[in-house]
Amino acid sequence: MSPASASRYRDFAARLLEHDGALVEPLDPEGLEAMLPASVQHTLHAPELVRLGFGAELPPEAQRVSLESDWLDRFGQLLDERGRWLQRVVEVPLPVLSQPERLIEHGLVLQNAIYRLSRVAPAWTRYLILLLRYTAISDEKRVGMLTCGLNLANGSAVDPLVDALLSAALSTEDTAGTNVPADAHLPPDWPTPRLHSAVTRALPARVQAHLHLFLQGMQRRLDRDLERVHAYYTGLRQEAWQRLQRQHTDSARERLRLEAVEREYQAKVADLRQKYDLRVTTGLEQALILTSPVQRLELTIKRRKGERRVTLDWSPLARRLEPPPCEWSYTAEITRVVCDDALHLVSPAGHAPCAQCGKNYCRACQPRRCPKCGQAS
Amino acid sequence: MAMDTNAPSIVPSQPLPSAPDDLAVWKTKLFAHIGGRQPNALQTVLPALQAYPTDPELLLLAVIAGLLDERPEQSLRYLQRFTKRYVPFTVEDQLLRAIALAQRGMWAQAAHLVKQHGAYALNSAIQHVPCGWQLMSWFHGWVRKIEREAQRRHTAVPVATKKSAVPAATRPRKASKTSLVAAATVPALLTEGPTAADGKAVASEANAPPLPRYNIQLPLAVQLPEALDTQLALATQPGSDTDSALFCLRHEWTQLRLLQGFDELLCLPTLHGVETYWYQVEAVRKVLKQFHGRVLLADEVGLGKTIEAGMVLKEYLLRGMAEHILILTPATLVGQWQEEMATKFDVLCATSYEALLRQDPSAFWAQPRVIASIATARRPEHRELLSSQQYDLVIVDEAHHLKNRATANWQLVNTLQKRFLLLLSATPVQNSLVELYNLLTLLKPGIFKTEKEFRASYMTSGKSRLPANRERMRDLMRDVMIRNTRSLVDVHLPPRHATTLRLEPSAEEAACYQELTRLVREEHQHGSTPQRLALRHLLSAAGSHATTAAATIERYRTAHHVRQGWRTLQTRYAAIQQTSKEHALCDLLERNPDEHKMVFVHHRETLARLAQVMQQEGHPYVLFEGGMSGPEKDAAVERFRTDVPLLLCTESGGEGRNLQFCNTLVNFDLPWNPMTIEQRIGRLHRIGQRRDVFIFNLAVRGTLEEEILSILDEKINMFELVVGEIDAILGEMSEEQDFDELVFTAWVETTEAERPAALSALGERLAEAKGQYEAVKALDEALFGEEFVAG
Repeated sequence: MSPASASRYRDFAARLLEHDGALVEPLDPEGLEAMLPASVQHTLHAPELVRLGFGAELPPEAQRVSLESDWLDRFGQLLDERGRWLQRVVEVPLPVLSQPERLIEHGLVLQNAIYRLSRVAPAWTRYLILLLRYTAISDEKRVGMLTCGLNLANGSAVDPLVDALLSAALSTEDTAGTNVPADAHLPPDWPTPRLHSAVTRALPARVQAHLHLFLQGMQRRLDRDLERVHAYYTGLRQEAWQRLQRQHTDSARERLRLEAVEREYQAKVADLRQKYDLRVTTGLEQALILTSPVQRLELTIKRRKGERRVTLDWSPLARRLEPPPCEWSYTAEITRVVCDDALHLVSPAGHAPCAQCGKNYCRACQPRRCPKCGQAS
Repeated sequence: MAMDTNAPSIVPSQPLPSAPDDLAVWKTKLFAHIGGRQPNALQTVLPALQAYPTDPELLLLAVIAGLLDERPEQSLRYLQRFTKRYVPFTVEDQLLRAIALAQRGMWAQAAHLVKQHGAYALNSAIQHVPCGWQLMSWFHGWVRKIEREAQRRHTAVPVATKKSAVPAATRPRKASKTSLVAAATVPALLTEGPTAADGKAVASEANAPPLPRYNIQLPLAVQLPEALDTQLALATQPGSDTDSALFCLRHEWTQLRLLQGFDELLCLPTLHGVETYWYQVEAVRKVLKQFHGRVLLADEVGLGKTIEAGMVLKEYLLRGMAEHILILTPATLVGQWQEEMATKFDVLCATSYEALLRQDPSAFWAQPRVIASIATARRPEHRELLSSQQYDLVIVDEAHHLKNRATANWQLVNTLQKRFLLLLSATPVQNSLVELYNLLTLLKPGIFKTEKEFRASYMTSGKSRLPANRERMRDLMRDVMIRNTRSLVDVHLPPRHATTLRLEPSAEEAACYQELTRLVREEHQHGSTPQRLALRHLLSAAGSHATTAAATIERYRTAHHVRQGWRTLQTRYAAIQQTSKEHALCDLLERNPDEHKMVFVHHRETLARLAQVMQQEGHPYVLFEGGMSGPEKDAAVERFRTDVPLLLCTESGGEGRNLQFCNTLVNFDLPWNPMTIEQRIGRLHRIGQRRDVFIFNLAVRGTLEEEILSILDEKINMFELVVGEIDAILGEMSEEQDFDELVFTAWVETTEAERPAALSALGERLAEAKGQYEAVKALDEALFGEEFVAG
C-alpha cells in the first residue's frame, strides 16, 4: 500500500471509529490507537483497546491493517447499511444569467428543429445522483465506480455536473433548518418503474464508456490471439494439404487430418471465446437526492407544425447548464433530434433507422419495436 | 446439391417420439437431424412445432430447417413468429433473415442487413442459434456469399445476354427453383473444403481452401444491480438519512475497496503455514497481470511451484474469477496436492481416489474442484466427460508428461475447455526442443507457428536439444514462461547428512513381525479394498512399535471377522516390554543431550509409548501432535526452543512453525511415502537453517521399513537430495499408484523368495527415474539459464 493510501485508510478508520463513539488517538508511525465501545468491539471482533497500523512499519503491538486484510470488510460491517442514502437541501445564491441565449447555443444542438427561449426564472429542482459499482470479469478483472445523475424535473442526465453537485452536497453543513419555499413547485417523485427504466437505459452506455480502454485492450488481445490461432491452423492445414497433393496413396488419412485441423481450429476459437467472455455486474452503492435552486430556462421547440415547451436548468452549484434531456436513453450529449409525433427530444441514436426496414422512428414513442416492420428496438 | 422442394415427404431416418411429453428427446433428435443436414428438415420439425407452437427453440429450428430446405418464405414466417414473442440474444434473427432474403434473391436487402450489423456480429451470433456449431461453416458461407454478392454488384458491369457466363446467382431475378438450388450449393463448396467426390478438382489447387477467419467482437452485457427497485424505493422515500458524515464515510470506504488491485495479493493473509518468498509473490503477480493466467511455471525444484500455483488458484477464487477448477497430476502426487490445497489454502478438492468416480463419473467430474491423476483422466470413458466441462482453471503438475503431442496426455489437455492454464514442470525439456514446443502450444497455440516452422526456425539440424535462434526463442518464451532459479533468488540451504541404524530385533519381535506378514498376506488375498487399507495400516504399525501393533490388531479384530491367530498375535505383541528401537533412541539422546532433537513418529500409540519411555528414562520432552490447539502448539514449540531439548511429534510436528534452531531429526518409524519423509526433513531443512542437518533413521532388520530405507537411501541417496527433488523423481515414474501402494504390493503379493526381486525392481525403477531427472535437469539449466526469473 502506498503511503498516500495508508494515510487515507488511517484517516477513514479514525473518522469511522470516532463517529461510532470510540476514542481515537494517532499513533506513530501511520497508526492509531482506539478505545472501542462494546458494540464496536463486537462488530470488529476487536478488544476494547486496539492498536492498528496502516503503513509499512507497524507501531509497537499494532495489528496490520491493509487493503487486502479483512479489516476493510470489518469496517464495512460496522457501517452496515448506514450512509447509503442521503437527502440534502442546499441553498445558494442564484445569480442572474446575463446571456442565457449563448448558454443554450453552446449547450443544445437540435438537428431537425428550431427553438426559442421563452423565459428564464428561478426555480427549485431535485437531482437524483446514483453511485454504482461495476465489476467486469474476463481473464482480467476491473472494478470501478460510476455516477449517474438525473434532474427529476425534466429528466436531464446531469453526469457532467455530478462531481460539483456531490461536492456541494457533502461540503456544506447539514442544513436541517433549510426549508424549501412553499412555492418552489418541486418536481414530483418519479415512480419506481420509471426510475428503473431510466437506470436500465442509462447504465450500459456509461459502463461501456468507463471500460472503454479495458475493452479496447481486451479486443486487441483477442484479435491478436485469433490471428495467431488462424495463422497456426492455416499453416497446419496447408502442410496437410501439400502432403495430400504429393501422396497418391493414403490420401484418406490426410483428408481426415484436414478435417481434424478444422475441428481443432473451431475448438480453439471457442476456447478464446470462453477466455474473453466478459461478465459485467453492477451494484447500487449510494444514492443522493439533492434539492437546490436553479435558473430554469424555458424553451419553445418547433418542429414542422408542432411545438413543445421544454425546460433546461442552470445549476448554481456547478455553474453550468445541464445537458438537454434525452427521453429515450438518458445520455448526456448535447445533440438532439425531435420526433414528429410527440416532439420527443432524443439522441441521434434514438431516432436512427430501423436495422431491418430502414425507417427512422422515435425510440421514445416506440420503445419496443419498429412501427413499420416490427423489428425489435 | 439439388433438392426438389416439391418432393413428397419422406419419413425421417430416425423415428421421433410421438408423445408430446418427450419434448427434450424430440429436440435432441431434431438437432441431430438438422445439424447433420439430413434431407426434409422442415417436414421433420413441423410435427414438433405443431405440438409446441410457441417453443422458441423449435421456432428457430423451423427457420433453419426452412433455409436448409431452401424454403425461405416459410423460414421468414417462422422467424416473424419468433421475433413477435421473443427478444433475440444478439442479432441471430438478422442472420437468419439475411440468409432467407438472399435465398429469395433479395440480395440488396440481405447485403443491407449484413452491412448494418456487420459480418462479424452476424457470425458471432451463430452460437445463439440451435445447431449453430454444427452448421457454422454453412452460415459463414452464406454471409460471405452475401458480402461478395454485394461487392460484385457494386463493381460489376451488367452483361446483357440471356445465357450468361455469370452464374445464375448473380443475376437479379425472381426466385426460382434452379437459382435457389444454385445459391444453396455454392456456399457448401466454398466452406466445406475438399471432399472425396471433389478429389480431382481439389487436387489441382495449389493451396488449401482457407479456414474461416473469425472476428469476435466482445459483447458487453451489463447485469443490473440486484433488487434495484427496492433500493431505488429506499433511496427516494421521504425522510431518508440526512447524516452526510456517514454518507462520506461510506463513499470513502467504497473508494478504498477499489484500490485493491493485482499489485497486492488478496490470498496472502489467507494462507496457513506457508512462508511465502518474494520471488513466489512476484511470480503470482506476473501470472495474474502479465500472462493472464496462462503460463508454464518452470522453477527449479524445491522453490515452491506448488505454492505458486496454489496462490494463483486462491487469488482467482477470492476475486471471483474462477469457480470450476481441475488439477491433473501424476498418481503419486494426488494425495499430496489434496492435502496442500486443504491445509495451506483452505481449498477442499475431490480426488480421483473417491468412490464417486466409479459410481457416477459424470457427477464426479462436474464437481467444482477436482484433483485427478492424469492417467485416470485420459481414459476414454472419462476424457469424453472432461471435454464437455468448461473449466475456469486447469493446473497440470509435472507437465513434462505432456511433452509429446501424439500422446493421450497431451490430447487430453489440448481438448479441455479452459480459460486459465498453469503447467508446472521443473524440467520442461527432456530430450528435444520439440517437447518445449508442444508444451507452449498448449498455452498459446501458434506461438511458434507449426512444428515444421519451429524446427526450421529454432532447431539446429541434427541436434534436437540445441536451439538455433536462442534469443528470438527466449523472447517468445518470456510471454508464457517463468523460471526461478536457486542462484538468482538467493536460496541457499546447508547440506543434510543421513545415518540409518539397522537394529536387530529380539527373537520375539522378529517372530511376531513374520507372523503378522503371513496373516496380512492371507487376508489380503481374500480381502476387499477397505480391508487392504487396514492391512497396510497394520503392517505400518508393526514397523513402528509393538504397542502400536497390538492396539492396531485389536481394532482390526473388532472391525473384521478374523481367525484366532490374530488374537494370539495381539497378545504376543502386547507382551513385548522393550523394543530395540527404544534402546537405540535412548542411546542417541544421550549423545549431546543438550542439543535440540526432533523425534518423529507416524502413530499416536507410538507417541504415547515413547512419552512413557522418556519419562522412565528421565529425558525431559515436549509433545506435539495434530490434535493440540494452536496456542498449545505454540507453547510446545516455545518450551522446545527455550527449556527442553527433545520434541516428540507426529507428522504434523512443527508444521508452520519456525524450528530452524534445531538441526537433528530422528525418524523413529518411517512413513512409506518418501514425500512424507521429505516433509519431516523439511521442518528443519529449510530457508533460515544455518547448520548442517543430521537425520537418523531407525529401522529394524527384516521389516518393510528397512527395505524402503534401502531403496531410498542406497538407490537414490534421497536424504542428501536437494529439497523437492524427490517429488520430481517420483513424478518421473509413470506408475499409476502411490509409492506406498507399490511397496505394499511388493511386500504382500510376493512369496518370501520373490520379495527381494520385487523390491529390487522397484528400487531400479526409482533409480532410473532419478537418472532421467538428473539428465533433464542439466539440459534445462543449459537451455534456459537464468533468463526467466519472475523478479
